Amino acid sequence: MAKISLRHVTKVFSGKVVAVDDLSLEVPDRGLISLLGPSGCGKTTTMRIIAGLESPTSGKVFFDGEDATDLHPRERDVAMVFQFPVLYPAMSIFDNIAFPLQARKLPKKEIRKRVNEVSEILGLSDFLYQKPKGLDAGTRQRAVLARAFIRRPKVYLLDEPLTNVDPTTRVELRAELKRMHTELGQTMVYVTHDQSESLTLADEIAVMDKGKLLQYDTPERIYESPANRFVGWFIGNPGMNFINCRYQESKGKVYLDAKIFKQDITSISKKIKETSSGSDLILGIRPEHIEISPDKKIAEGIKARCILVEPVGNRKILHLQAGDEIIKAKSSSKIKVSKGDKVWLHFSTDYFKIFDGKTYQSLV
Amino acid sequence: MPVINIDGIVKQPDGGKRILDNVTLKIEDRSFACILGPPGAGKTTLLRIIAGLEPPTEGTIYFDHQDVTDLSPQKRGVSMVFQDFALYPHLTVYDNIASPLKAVGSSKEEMNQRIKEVSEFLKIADLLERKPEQLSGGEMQRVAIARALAKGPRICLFDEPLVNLDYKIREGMRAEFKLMQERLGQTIIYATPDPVDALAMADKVAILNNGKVEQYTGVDEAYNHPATVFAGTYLGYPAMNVIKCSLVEREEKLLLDAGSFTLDVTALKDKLKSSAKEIVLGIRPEYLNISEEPLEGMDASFEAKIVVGEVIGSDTIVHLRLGEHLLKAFVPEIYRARLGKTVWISFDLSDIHIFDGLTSKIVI
Repeated sequence: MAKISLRHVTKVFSGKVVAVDDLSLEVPDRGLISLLGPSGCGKTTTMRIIAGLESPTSGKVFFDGEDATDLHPRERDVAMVFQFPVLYPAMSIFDNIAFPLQARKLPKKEIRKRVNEVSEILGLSDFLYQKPKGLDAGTRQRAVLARAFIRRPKVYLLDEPLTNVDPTTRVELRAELKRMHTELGQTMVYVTHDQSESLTLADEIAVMDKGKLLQYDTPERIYESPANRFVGWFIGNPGMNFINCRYQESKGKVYLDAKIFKQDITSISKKIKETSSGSDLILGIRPEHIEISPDKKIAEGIKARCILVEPVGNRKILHLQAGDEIIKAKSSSKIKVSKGDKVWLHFSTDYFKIFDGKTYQSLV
Repeated sequence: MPVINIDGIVKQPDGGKRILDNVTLKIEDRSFACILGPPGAGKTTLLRIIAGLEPPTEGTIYFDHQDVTDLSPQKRGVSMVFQDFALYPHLTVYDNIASPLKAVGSSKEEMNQRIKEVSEFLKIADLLERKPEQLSGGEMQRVAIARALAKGPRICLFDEPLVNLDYKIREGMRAEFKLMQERLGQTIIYATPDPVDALAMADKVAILNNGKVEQYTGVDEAYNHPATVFAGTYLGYPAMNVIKCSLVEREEKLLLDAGSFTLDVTALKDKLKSSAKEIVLGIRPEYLNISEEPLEGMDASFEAKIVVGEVIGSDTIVHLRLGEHLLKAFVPEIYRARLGKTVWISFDLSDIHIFDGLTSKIVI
């Protein structure tokens, strides 16, 4: 059990590379938070600072309100799991899992009980007396997770633990991790570049880019109300569509004017006018909020041509060319649209997200 | 006219087990074929044999009906992009792409023309003067692909080219790959462990498991009509649900006995006439409907308990327990459910697959 606070943490490598830039973040006790971002965004460095493997150039780390910035990793009572499973090759899976308890000289009976318990949850019972060699990556990673969980440390730090596991096993393990967290109720920090892992696992997601924390919020809020253009693009599969527009007033009404369409936005114009840096705006709209039909339904319908259909099992992603814009729409796999077809796109202002054209920050 | 004929390829190192076991595939001219399978299935070995980097133990490779089995890689007109691609660090992007063209003595004009074409297509035209160290991972990957394409080979082999890239970059590159192939008209063979790659890009998919081809057909066909249990579970995300059952006759009814539930399949009696008694029931997650009450008009409904719900943006994967079976349902909307809650899952008999329990081959 532990609450972790990072206050104004900055990490500069070799005097010039800013890996983490003035990051402040609270991980609630028993919370499962995710650090999410592309390669090089500073998420792993942030995790290593929490673990004590790196010391921040400036700023402080607190565990349960106490300054832990200079505490040795061993004194922090954290368990870490990395992308590549590391097991002792000469030991059986049982001994690998039991190792932290054996080191603490717990009674044999107690060790056996706890190993059996955790192996049951993680589906390892059949592999306990095998050596790591010859087991697939998924099974080995399960063993590493079991070893971390059996210790019951204050904090779990997981750095892309599912990246090297095959996609089918990944879905299974992801659900198991979520269940483990619900059952154990310990503080977890989960680092990943895969937005679907963050969305499914975390109570709160910290989206990072170029060392900066861009948004720290629940998965729902991150998905529905991205704080800026980057978050809207990074979250979602595929991410949000963006269309460059201009703010235009005419005859007492306000319009969002893109080359391919013009939309009346009088009802939400007040806030945009107050907060935007100029008249350049970006409209953001999620692929699942675009309706496609063979004919024009409303005046603002946009004419488009389908240039690519990506069937992804239970969904189809349509790539649509409208003027100079390429818009991605997500639809049911039953839709009958093929490459080259002319279609009309409709979207409702209810789902509009509007970003500033210069600062890329969310306005509405 | 089929451009590549892979005929009875066996690869068996001296005294070892077969890495490839009688692989036969016909790959049409200008098509996109995916070799899909888990790590260790033999994907890379197959590509290397097609490229001429390794000889097969048995079997023949034909390009346009011409036996090329003993032809050196240089004479095959094939280019290959590996998972761990290497760029020359001291050369600019332009010179990296130009290197294979220089090697075959292309004229300067010809070279400029080719490089312009591929670099514009791969959106790296602005990067031509840079050195590899100034590029991101995704950009480097594009350069490696551009280099492979610039010399205009008829056949391009890709070995997990996206596997080391961030999830988000991968998402965008799938569409690019597909558009590029359609534009340039090459024959592409693309090896990957990720079913989403195959679903999004391929015309045909060869599902490889332990060196054997489980199924080779059009992607939609493979998805809708899996030939084996493995093909059905591997090509799909999340994977198809599979349940071991026995086929029993009781009071003039034909039933699937799954232990904790029985499914009436009397309607399928004719098709199951010569089926084995031990079978495997398969149903894709998107065909399981979840509701508070049993759904009317569906062929079957069962009570199940929610284990965990994973909301991924606008979709939800619901993990359920039905007796001793764990099932996954894909709901194309946000579905929030209390853990442990009892719900009904309903489906139609037309959406189930039945496989032979012994051979794993499809029955209906």
